[in-house]
Amino acid sequence: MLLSLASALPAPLKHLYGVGATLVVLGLLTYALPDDWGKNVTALKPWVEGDAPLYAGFRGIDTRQADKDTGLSEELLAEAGAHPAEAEDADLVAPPPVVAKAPPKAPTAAPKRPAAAPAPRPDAPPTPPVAVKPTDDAPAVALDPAEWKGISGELEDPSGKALDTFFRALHRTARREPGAITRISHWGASVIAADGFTSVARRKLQALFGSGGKGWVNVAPGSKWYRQRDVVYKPRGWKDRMVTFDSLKSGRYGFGGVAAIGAPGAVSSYQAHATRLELYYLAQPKGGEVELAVEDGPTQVVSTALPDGAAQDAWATLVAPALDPQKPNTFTVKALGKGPVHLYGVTLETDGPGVVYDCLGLIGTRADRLLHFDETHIAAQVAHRKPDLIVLDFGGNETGDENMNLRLYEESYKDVIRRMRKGRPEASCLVLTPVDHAENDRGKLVTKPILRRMLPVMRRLAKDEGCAVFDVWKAMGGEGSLRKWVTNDFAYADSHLTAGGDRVLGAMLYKAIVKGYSDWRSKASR
Amino acid sequence: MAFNSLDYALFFIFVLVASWSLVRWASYRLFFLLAASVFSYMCSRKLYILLVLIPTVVDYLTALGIAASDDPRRRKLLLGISIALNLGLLGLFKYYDFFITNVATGLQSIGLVPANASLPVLNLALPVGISFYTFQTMAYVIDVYRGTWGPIKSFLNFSLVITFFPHFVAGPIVLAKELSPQFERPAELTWDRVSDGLFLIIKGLLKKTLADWLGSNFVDNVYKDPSQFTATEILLSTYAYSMQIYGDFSGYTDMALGSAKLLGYELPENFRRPYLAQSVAHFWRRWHMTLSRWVREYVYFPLGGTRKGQLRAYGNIMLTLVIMGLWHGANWTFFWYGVIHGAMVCVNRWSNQRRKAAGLEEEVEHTGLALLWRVFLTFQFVSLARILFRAENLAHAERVASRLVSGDFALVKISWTIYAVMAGAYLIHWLPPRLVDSTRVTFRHVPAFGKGVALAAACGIAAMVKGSNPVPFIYFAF
Repeated sequence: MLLSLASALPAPLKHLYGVGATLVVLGLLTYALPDDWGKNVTALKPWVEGDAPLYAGFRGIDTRQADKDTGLSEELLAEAGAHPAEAEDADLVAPPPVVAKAPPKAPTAAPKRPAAAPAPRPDAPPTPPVAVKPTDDAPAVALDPAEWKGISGELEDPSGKALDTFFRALHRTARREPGAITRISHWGASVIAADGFTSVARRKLQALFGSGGKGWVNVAPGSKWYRQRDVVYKPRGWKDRMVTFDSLKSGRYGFGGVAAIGAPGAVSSYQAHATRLELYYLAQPKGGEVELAVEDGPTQVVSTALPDGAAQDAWATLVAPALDPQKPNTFTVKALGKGPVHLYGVTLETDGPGVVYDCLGLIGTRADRLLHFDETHIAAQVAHRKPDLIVLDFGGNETGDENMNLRLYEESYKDVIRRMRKGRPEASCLVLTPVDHAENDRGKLVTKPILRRMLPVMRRLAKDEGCAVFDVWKAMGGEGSLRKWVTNDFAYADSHLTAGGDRVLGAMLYKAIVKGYSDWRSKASR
Repeated sequence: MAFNSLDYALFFIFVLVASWSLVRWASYRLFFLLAASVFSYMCSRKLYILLVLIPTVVDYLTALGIAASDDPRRRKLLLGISIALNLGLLGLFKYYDFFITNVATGLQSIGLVPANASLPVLNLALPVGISFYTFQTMAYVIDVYRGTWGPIKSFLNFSLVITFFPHFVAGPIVLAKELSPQFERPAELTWDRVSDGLFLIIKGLLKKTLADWLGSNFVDNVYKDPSQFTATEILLSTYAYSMQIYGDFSGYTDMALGSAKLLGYELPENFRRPYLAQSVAHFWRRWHMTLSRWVREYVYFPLGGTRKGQLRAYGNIMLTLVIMGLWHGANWTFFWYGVIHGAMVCVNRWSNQRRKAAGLEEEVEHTGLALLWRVFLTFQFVSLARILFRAENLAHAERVASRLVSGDFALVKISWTIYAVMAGAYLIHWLPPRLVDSTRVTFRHVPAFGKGVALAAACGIAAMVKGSNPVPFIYFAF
């Protein structure tokens, strides 16, 4: 009967129905394809469970609302638009305001002044940690619970001791002890390469505790994406070698992971609110000369040559005459000639007290790439830099390897932690989990399965190595959170954050640190 | 209902089968198509169908009243009622909040309204396609008033003219005189129509897929956070956006024209390779041609066009282009988009007038390098002006534009895939039209199975690029 009906149809209509029938049959055939043939095959299926319901609009189902709801607190959402647009592009902003002081007798047990701690000197040898017990006879920075209101995740420290060194240092800074600088050194991959959320956390911490300066900046950028905030940084003429690519047999990449090889004329300038520049470099036989200069101030020529013997790391400091809060100092580092120079980076600091937050972004880097550092070299670098908190923020690039051997990953990450802490074993350590990384599944961004498997491993290895954890993935919303962040313009689909996302994540980290410090202070004063 | 969705595919297959089954019963077929069109519209926001049905009924009646009356005052009154209703609804849903907010801001700045005064804004959701169907129904009543067309006696015919789903929500802006006669004739499906309709649908789907890819892989990222991009990257993003919006809108139009063809009807063309335009005026004769036609016939000519002196001519051009800009949305970005386009059309006209005064030909047929240079300049202008079109507000546009002059010319965030896709897209756009035509003619000879495979392949590519969640068409927002 169907055949007789079909034969009665006009020929063009039969032709059209033939096209339609082919389309429908091919569409149905896609359901015979096994799902394990890959996502592209699954995408061909016209509809599968989990897709938006058919005719959702007619049925009054809003399919996008769920993606708009990030689950973040109002305080964090407000951070996304907290700063005027013009500020987000600025490399250099005005120094943070004067730190608030607590009343002499705070309702909670105010800490006593500890035994006098010497002001740290940049060229001083590593010193053992000073036991500081919070006491209640000295004013300290007021900790208003509003600072961590709306917190989305706390620092996890099962041992309760992993962050002691950091909090002790922060406490000295909070008490405004002369020269008390708290240093945070944050190594990470592309998520921090433009000093995005790290600069937000830095500015917030410095606004509360005072500024110790910009911190570390490479001499050579290492990649086109390298950017630093709170400094106007202009490099020119350097060849760079990144630890990521293992391109130096010596493994001497410097504290920031990027060595700068310079011929005469290569120069980097740094404009920052800092009174002191310290150059990290390699002293080597037949090494050339480097000129350190500060605008309206002294000039110093540093010879990187060694008369003989093996190359070794060295440091040189240039002090600016004064720091005008309204006029940042401009420092330059210039290769003069007489031989090649092999430089690492500079630190830009004030006399404190305050917080310094080093952003050590290495594009495209996995954690195990830090094993390309020569062990003795990086230990010496870290020992000299004396970070109070070492932050390791890797894992995003690892999610590209769906079949990664997690056991090897765990072992290599532990090796990385040991290597980075070797120069300063007493430094606190914090492991950050990566931001949500997602893959496109039928038009929706869903969390990569490998990321879910990596998270418990990261927690375990951090615990084994005595590190605390800040679970960024969980704080931003966990499963499927990237989709929501993309919907709200906080992130791109490739997991990199927008300026708004940086502000939210920076505020998350800041709140977690301040809350952790407050808890530590309360606990220590009991 | 988006043409690039599974919802539409299932709906359209059902409508095709049912409507051709009803072909012997013309009125039932039209009624069925009306019901299908109403259903299609109700898939966006059900109650808003009333915003279509009310003006449809009122305009149908006022047009009959105008045609039946010889009294000029009564005819003007009826026309006035129709225009007031249509522009009133459009103004209420699309422009009221914008107007009230700006007036209040102005009054606050001179102290007449307290700074913290709460504003009577409505926050109404914009009915999908309101700018399209409002212009269509207004054009019909004006045509009847002018005596150039109608009236349409059959309410069924008229309501289907307005709501016919292929053009309902995003054009082309069809005139009643183009579609109504087709509904009065028995629908006919020819070999060429079947083949050309399918060809258009495949072409449109691929264009839309390309547009979505460029949007999600490049343009959206730039506009999310322009501070992350260099001047060169911002410039390239304007070219990418030009192709994205062309692919999106012309892709939609292709699918609309193809769908209508498969139902036995013809809709007017809306694009003619716009990025080959030699001037901005020329561009508007190639881009969204049915909107340009509408504004020319129902705004520009009634204002006097060029017939009332030079000054008035320039004023009319500016006003017309500003209306075209604001037609896209209630936002200062669209106002300034219209202003700069108007200014460029005025410059074109002034240049032509100077040639005329010097005794030269007003319009010169350019060839060779001169032609390339003019096409290049026009394309640069059109692409850069689209920063205003794409930005969410003037501050956003300023942020994008300021990056454009930042002096940072590095190219770091653009993959080779993006270069390749953009180059391929523009190459196809600039190919001689005869190549596309010959492909279309060749496609006519492909058997039904081959056409089905080609259509399935286009659907498959779209699915693999964007998945099961179709990206809405940009012009749905207007």
